[in-house]
Amino acid sequence: MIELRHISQIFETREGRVHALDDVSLTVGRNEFVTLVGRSGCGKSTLLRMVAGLQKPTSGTVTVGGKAVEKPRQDVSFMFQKAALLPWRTVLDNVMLPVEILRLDKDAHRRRAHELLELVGLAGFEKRLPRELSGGMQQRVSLCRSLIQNPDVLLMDEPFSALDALTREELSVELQRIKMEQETTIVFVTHSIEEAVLLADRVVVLSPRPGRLRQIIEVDIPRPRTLGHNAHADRVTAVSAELHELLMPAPAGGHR
Amino acid sequence: MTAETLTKGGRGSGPSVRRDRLMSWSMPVLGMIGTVLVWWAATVVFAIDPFLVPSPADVLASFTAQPGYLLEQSWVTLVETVEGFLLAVAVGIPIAVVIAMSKVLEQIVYPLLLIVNSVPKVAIAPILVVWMGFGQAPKIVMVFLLCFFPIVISTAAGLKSTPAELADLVKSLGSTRLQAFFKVRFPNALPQVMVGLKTAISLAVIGAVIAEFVGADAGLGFVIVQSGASADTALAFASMALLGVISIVLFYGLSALERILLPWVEDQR
Repeated sequence: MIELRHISQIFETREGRVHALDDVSLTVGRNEFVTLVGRSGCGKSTLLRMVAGLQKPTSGTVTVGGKAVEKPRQDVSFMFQKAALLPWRTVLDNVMLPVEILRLDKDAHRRRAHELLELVGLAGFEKRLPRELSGGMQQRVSLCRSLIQNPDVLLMDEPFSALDALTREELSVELQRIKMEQETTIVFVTHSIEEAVLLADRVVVLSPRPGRLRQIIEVDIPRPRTLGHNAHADRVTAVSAELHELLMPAPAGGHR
Repeated sequence: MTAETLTKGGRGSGPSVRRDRLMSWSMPVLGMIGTVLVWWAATVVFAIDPFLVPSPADVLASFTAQPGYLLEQSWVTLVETVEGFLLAVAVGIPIAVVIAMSKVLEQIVYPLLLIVNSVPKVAIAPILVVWMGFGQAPKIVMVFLLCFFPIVISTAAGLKSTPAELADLVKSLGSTRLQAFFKVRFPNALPQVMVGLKTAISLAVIGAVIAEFVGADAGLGFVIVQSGASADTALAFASMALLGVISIVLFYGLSALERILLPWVEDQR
């Protein structure tokens, strides 16, 4: 579904050239859920923006569904770290924004908007303004908005990182459920190991400065997954530990 | 915004809110009554000649002596003020849009605006009379000149302050420039536009009076000039009070309009 070939990115800054990404190649299959993890500055968000067509790589090619990404496309939607809701629009009208901009059929999508809001537990909040909602609820509205045009690919840039830990886990579980109901390929950027293990079919670990593909870990824990006690708790712990070791530098004097 | 507010922020109707609302009305009124009383007491205690400082009673008497005439003059000034203000809105907002949309045009237009704005408006007033005579035209133009600048500056600033995530959002949807403007940039600028309008409306009345001082045969500014010539200080005070009323009514009218049109703006007024 998504193919990244030999992606490199160099930023020109006042302090000189910054090598943000170095020869990253990655293939994401249809309906796969891939998380990109790495420390700050490893270029994971940059990679995501390239798939969205918001940014062009210095070298390398990005294709989605076999077509090169030149600019933002209708079949790819993007969810941001901030809810980015329009404060003057009601919840329902916020969800409908992509429908207006993409000039899609309004009546059919209004029905879909109601369904999506119900799916995330916001039925009855359609007429509210964003400022009347909690952070978690705002991010749920944002999720509905990014699903309204039924995108083939959903790109998520640390969407839950501004939320408190419990709301965050709650939304991760919800996203899993939605993913099981909707056919969508998801690439999810995070620096949370828990989120990565909970959500991903594969976790892609990037090393920082320059961002390189360090390792890809298959997570074959059956869904729905939780961080609580269940039959797969051991495997959740094992994968978490593996990721932890990849992301944290070895302690000084220790041996790996 | 606090993360967990589920109630309508600041719009509940509990007893404390009702008390707040009562306070927000009663305290300014109390302050005004107090000031008038002190003024009155001062004129009595120090036996000030009404020719220098008339007492509140003298001012009121001056109004009730010819209320029809004074309200007529108020109406003249009010119409000039509103017309000039609306003209400034009609011209200022499109210019602000041009400035916000094009870097090149901004660099061309902005210095010109600054130069025009740096000229003291009082200095232009006599020239306006030469150009346009003693009718309403020079007054409307003067009001326009005073209102224009704050409207342009605030609107342009508002249009340029689109949050990055909202700009990214519409971009990620592949919106056209026009869509981005009407769906996000312009509505996002509206609170700032209102700030400009409120600044402008306070200046508008001043503009009308300046123009009337220089050459007019009607309006409250004209009445003040006349009363100065005949040393009728009480009449001048009455006119000033009427000017104050016009200013306040226009300002709060705009505030009320804002509350109706932009209910989504966080309460910080």
